[in-house]
Amino acid sequence: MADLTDSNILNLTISGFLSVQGKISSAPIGISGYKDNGGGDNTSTGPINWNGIWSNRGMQVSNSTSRFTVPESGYYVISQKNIGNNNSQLSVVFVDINGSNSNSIRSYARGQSHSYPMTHSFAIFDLTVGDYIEFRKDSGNLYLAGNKDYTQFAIYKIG
Amino acid sequence: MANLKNSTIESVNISGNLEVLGTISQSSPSLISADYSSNTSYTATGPISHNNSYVESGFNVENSRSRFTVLEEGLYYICWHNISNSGANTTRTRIYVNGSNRSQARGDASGTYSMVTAIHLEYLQPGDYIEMVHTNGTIYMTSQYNDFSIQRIL
Repeated sequence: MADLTDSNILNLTISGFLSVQGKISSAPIGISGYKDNGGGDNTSTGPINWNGIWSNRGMQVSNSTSRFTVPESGYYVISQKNIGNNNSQLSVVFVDINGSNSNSIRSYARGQSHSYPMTHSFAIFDLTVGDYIEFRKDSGNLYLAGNKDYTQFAIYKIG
Repeated sequence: MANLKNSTIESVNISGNLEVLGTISQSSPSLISADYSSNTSYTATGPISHNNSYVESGFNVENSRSRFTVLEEGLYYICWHNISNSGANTTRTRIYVNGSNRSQARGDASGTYSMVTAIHLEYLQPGDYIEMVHTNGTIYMTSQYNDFSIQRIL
């Protein structure tokens, strides 16, 4: 039997299954961020320009901080949450893949007087290297206030 | 090429790609998920202790099951949802990392049972710790309404 103890291998393909008794460490891919905007409403529509990044491992960030391009093909979890304002407007946020929401997700909230509805959307997408993700506010206004903890997103590769 | 059929290996570093055509199993992944159950008018503030674990692997669980300390460096995804009590004041629960606020689940004070979510993704080091913290209002704290999960991303 080959002795691979403490071996360094460039590439490895296993045709059967792999069972690991210890830990698996790797170079994970993912990014998370928030938008606070220093207070007040965000009434503009279009891709949300995030003004803070918690962590970024391997994702390409462009168009200020609104577009996230995947560095590898694979399955990605995309998750976002936001809070609408206390008025009668809808607050709708789409997740666009390559500029389109035709096969994607959105969150929806209708604010009322003295009501700040919080919404959340998430899904797993099969993406190809070079695909890009944007969170697009379609209508309404988000209640951003001075907090980093209301309007946030996370993207990570799972396989 | 080396024949590795049914091999047992102590440790291997792969600088390039690992492709597994079958499944990958790991005996001790870093993940935990649980729910909370105490009473329907939970007002105590501070880190919340969970009752029932669905899975619990690869974390040091401390302080009466409210603090989850990371044992392995890596990228962690944290998700928490809860429901506020009807008619309560604005209910705020938060994900904390190392004692600092990261994400808020805000239940509105509009006389409804608001189910809300907090999410967070962060690269953490061994010794970093995660808590679910109640800071305002009243949680409708019965099982299945209030859950969290933490997973290390591979």
